Amino acid sequence: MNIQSQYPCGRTRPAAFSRREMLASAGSGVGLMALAGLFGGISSEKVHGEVPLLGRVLAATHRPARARSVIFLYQDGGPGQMDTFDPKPRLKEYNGKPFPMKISATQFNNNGNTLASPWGFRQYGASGLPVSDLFPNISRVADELCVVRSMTSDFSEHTNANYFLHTGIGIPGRPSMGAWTSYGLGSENDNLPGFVVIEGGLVPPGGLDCFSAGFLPARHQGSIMRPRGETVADATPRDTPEAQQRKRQLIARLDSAFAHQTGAEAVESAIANHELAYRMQAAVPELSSLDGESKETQSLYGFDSPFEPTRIYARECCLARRLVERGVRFVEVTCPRTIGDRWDQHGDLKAGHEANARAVDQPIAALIQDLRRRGLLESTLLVWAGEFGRTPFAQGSNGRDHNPFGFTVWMAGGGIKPGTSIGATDEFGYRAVESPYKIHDLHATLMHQMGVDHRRLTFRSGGRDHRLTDVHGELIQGALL
Amino acid sequence: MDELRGSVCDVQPVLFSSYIFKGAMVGLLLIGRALSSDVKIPDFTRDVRPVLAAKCYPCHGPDGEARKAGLRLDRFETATLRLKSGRSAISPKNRGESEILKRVVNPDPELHMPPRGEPLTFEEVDTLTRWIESGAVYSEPWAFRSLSDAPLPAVSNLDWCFGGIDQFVLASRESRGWAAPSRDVDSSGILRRLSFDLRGLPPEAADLSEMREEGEGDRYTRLVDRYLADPAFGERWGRHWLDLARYAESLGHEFDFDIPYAWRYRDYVIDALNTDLAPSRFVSEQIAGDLLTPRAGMGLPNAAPLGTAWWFLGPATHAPVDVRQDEADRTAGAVDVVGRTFFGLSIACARCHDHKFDPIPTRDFYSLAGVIRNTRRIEGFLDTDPDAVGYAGVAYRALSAASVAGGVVPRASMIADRAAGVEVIDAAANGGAEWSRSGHAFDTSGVGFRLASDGTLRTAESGTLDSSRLSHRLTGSARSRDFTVSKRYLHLRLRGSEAAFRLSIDNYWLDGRVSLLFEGFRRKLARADGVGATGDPRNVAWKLETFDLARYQGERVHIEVLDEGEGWIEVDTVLASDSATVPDAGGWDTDGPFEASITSGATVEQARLSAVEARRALLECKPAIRALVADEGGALDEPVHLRGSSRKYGEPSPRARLSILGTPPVEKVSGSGRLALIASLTDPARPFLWRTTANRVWLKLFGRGIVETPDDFGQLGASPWSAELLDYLAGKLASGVTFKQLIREIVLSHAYRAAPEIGEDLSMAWGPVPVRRLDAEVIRDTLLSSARVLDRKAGGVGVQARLTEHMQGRGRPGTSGPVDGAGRRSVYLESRRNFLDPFLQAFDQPPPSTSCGRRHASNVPAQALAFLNSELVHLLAGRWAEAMVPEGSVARVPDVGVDRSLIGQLWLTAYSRSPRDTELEAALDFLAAERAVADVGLTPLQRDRRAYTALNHTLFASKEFVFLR
Repeated sequence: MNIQSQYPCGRTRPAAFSRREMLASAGSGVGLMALAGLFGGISSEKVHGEVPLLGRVLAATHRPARARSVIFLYQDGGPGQMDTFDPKPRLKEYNGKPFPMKISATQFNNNGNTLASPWGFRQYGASGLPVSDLFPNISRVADELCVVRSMTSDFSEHTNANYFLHTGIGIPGRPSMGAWTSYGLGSENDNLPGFVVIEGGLVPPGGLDCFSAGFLPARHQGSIMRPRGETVADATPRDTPEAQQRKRQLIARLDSAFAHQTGAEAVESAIANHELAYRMQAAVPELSSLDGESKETQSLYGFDSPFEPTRIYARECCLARRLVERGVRFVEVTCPRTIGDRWDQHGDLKAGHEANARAVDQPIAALIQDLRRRGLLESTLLVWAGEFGRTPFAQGSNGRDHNPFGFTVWMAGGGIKPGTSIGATDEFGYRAVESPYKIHDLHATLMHQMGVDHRRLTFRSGGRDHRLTDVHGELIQGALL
Repeated sequence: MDELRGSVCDVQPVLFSSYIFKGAMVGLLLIGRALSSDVKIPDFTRDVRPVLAAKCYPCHGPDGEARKAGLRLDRFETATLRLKSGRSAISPKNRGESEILKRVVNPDPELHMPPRGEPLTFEEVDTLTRWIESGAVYSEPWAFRSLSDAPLPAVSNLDWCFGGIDQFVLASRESRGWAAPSRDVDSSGILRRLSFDLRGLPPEAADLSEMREEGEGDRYTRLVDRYLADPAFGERWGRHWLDLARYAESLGHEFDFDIPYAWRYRDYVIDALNTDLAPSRFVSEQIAGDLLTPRAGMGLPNAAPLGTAWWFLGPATHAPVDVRQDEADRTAGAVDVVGRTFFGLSIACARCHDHKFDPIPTRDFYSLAGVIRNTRRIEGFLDTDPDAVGYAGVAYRALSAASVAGGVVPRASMIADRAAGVEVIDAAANGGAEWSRSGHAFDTSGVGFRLASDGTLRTAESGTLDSSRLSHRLTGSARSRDFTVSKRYLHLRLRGSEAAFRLSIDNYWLDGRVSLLFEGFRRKLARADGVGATGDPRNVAWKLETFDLARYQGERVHIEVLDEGEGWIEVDTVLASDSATVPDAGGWDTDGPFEASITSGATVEQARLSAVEARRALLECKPAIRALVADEGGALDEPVHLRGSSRKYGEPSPRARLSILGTPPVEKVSGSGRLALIASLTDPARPFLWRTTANRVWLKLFGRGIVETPDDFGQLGASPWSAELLDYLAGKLASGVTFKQLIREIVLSHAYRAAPEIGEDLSMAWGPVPVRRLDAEVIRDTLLSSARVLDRKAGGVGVQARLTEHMQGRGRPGTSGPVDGAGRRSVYLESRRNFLDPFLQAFDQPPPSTSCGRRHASNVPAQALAFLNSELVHLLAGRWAEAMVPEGSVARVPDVGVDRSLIGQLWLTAYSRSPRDTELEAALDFLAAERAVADVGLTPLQRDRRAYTALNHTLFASKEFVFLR
């Protein structure tokens, strides 16, 4: 009998109740964390081979991993490629004139004239990589970036495009790439989940389904952590330690009798789980407390920025580093609220993009520097991407509509070739014309760097073997070191 | 983890030596077997098919497009054909000539099969070898076979068996060398099991004392019947069905818009289960309740259409840039739900290609897709008054009679010359006979008279669809047939007052929420002056409303007109042209006012009076309700979409003609084909619905199905551990046994009452119900009921979702609901896709993305954290204490006798049993310690309640509270 096919629907596994299973799930679910070793970090040679990692399905990576963790810097709403990393001087020539190329249907269908970028570009570093004036800090680490200028998506609309970017399929209910990573590789820290989402204030359109475990076991779903307020839901005790201790003792008495009576492993696992939860209450605040970071580190990230969104994002990036240090496989960092919308500037491009860039610029640059100096950049793959790019022609007079036909993402660290650019859009930055890539290719590359062959990490659900890249996915070869 | 690992084609580099070794091992196995006499012939379904399906069918299976080397291994005829190479993959009874056996152990990577992924294991190669040697007999996949009618099997311990179910169960055990389970669950245990399984609530104390009384064996039976009759039964089993229906009350995606009236469907399901609607009728109503003979229920003369909301409960996105693709995706989602729920098959996998493993051709997908595309989502008008239909019929027939008696005849067409390039799409001939209607406003008779508000007869316009023939006060909606856009502009000649009309493109409807990309596709008619109670609609001028469809060429569209109140609307003609204006719009009237040669006379007068009287009665009827229901759209067969493209089409696939359902029982397919679909699906001779349903019922009672994969009976799914038992139960459903009857028979079986045994290997057969954790909703409901705050009120609009600070995102409701959900059962909590209840989620309530027949039973820290620290648990522990320690009940000095009594009650509530002595002492000590905590300013009442709150909290967080023995 085919046992693995027994769990056909959303996130099903049978009573996941063995002790081993319980331990495997120790750091997962909605709120999770931490036992011993939480603050110890993990030595980085435990990447390839037979390290007994719990909660993973692959016995070993398919190839030597270049990256141990991913930090996905999700740029909510879709930044304009011609305003960030893909300079298009010809747009200036045509600025205000009818757009000279054939225009495909857009989300708002309120297409105006050609709109040049309001920002200048300069070349930076030894690589001479051009970066727009939106990013005075990131430009300083330009030599670390590998810019892919020819990314494409299948969807012009936020939610479908977000599901696609996160799960490889443009509909809700599928496992997120972080969940796939956790499923395949587990967490390197027995007490932390494999997939954490640091929620900065803006949940992507499409909602929490973007972080879903889909049909994978529930423990692989993104654990939401907030950089403010209660970090993890229900992890803050409502009782005094003494009161909790009294309750704990009575529960232990009742439970041990029941466990003895039933002899069921399910009950024993739930008891162990309860004990774990007690300890997590103490561990979570320590993990998320950034006060222990040095003053220098704090100001490097921008904890003291006069702009509140920068301060929020700075804490998110710093927390991401702490999670990666402790062996979390996949950390997604979502954007904070800025002055108006996220990167989705259908109007007032200048003010909107400036605010969004200001929120993320310093913290991202700091994250790269901080990882670099701690020796973690080599094993941490950073991915900067929105769900699509923006049109080179205006929406209305001063906005840009969604553009899935050619846009920019970048990667850094984790065995990615630094200081490079790959592919190209046409002279107006509208469509990818040289080495066009799909989101599946980004996923395949990301998995590859983690040591996983995307074609060989599958899960059977509803009568077929699914994978993150569906039936697609080619490596972005030029990006590989 | 081992089970999981098996699903991944991972890891080890293939070593040549391992193949050589493997070949040698197989040889040894065969030699060894030759020496022994009791070699079992592998069963194709159980042993061989899983190997072929997993390792070979991806390239050599049913999917013609993916097939390599022209070799198809899922059928005897093709698997044994001589290939180009001159050899055969499978040569029955001749392993030496069977190429497949050589390839699976060939070390040469060029020749080895499968070319990628994990090679076959020794055992698998051995199985294949023995199967081929035995003649390579293929048998039909079990799920496709007709229901068998096996006699009750012989068992050695007939005394253990209470009935047929037990005989099958025991036979299955005995065939594997196991005896009957040795003991039953004790009375408290079985009572909890029964009460939670049937009602999702703990048993009442009275039930417990009733069960404890020794003697009469039928006490249990009486409790079964009482629980089945409890409205809580429908709430519990309705929730099971809602899992399959991917039930939610919002659409998810970016803004998480409401699904209007979704809650009526939830109430419909609960009511159907409580009233024990026949399973075939229950399923039929969800597919086509709008087309069936009416069934009174839920206070409605016809509740059947409410079931059809089932089609429209999936997620949806607003403003799709490609609306046809959007419809295709929504359709595929519905196909998936149909396939999993009713067939137990992944029909949705056949969208782009024939199914890789199961015999499901792509045309079956589009046969279902055609049914769905021809089914429209409407917010219909449902009568609440049983007499409304009758009065409306009388009134319209009287108007018709008056017009015949009055000699009213349509005037000849006024169109002399039609302008070139202008096409009449719909002339609303015969009063718009082709338009589908909901409510009573729109004339159903095409009559020549209007009955004015003052009761006089007026001649009306001929050839129009009109909502004011009988009264402008009636409400309703009407929809044109589907047509395909071939010209740029569409023009509606219409008039009216305070009514609405819209153009629906590819059945898209979310423009009502965000008009982005569909600006102007919904329009309203302003109040026309001088119409009111006595005015004459004929005084209102006709106008031409034009839609620019430049972006929607080739799309399928229809028009909907809506009269929701005092207003009215009258549609004359629908035109299409390539010009934004149509010359001489008035001239496009296809037919003018009726001519009345006689407008009076006794017959006319009699009819008039009859119409006036029926109208009065109709207007006095209780008002209709609105509900999300299905309506018939077009009647077009859907072409196969080549490789799943929404733009490239192959041959049309006849609607509701799935090859997997065999020869259709009805010849003619009309309309959407939904009636034909249910005729096939609910045919007692077709196995899918009955097997999947019987298995679902079993699974919910035993925690494990007869087939472990309730939504996948295909080649990659599990096989039944007792096909005979499954068919025994399925056969009952097919013969008309109801859900309650089936559940009753199962819970009265000895099998259901047996106690779990430690360490039994249950991989291939039946074992007693294991120790189980309660379902998410049941945990929450039991918290409420323990705390004495459960409100058993049934039905109605969902209780607003409670929002925590971790629940963020677009579409977040402006306000948050009550912590305790107003004390209502969890099934009545609003289910918003983007803001699902974190407590219920933590305990594995499935996300409503597609059908889910089997829930996860996870064990994650979020569960323990919820019990430790959630606002809900703390609040309810306090409420319980308030109920246990009422005002005025507290003495200055705590009374141990009172405490003992209260602790006894707590235990009874939480665990359905009395505390053991040690537990009692521990609880007393606990209370004493809690009371001893210094806290100035607390009254004795407050202090006692605080102590009991703490004790209650510990009971909530204890494992016995949430686990069933």
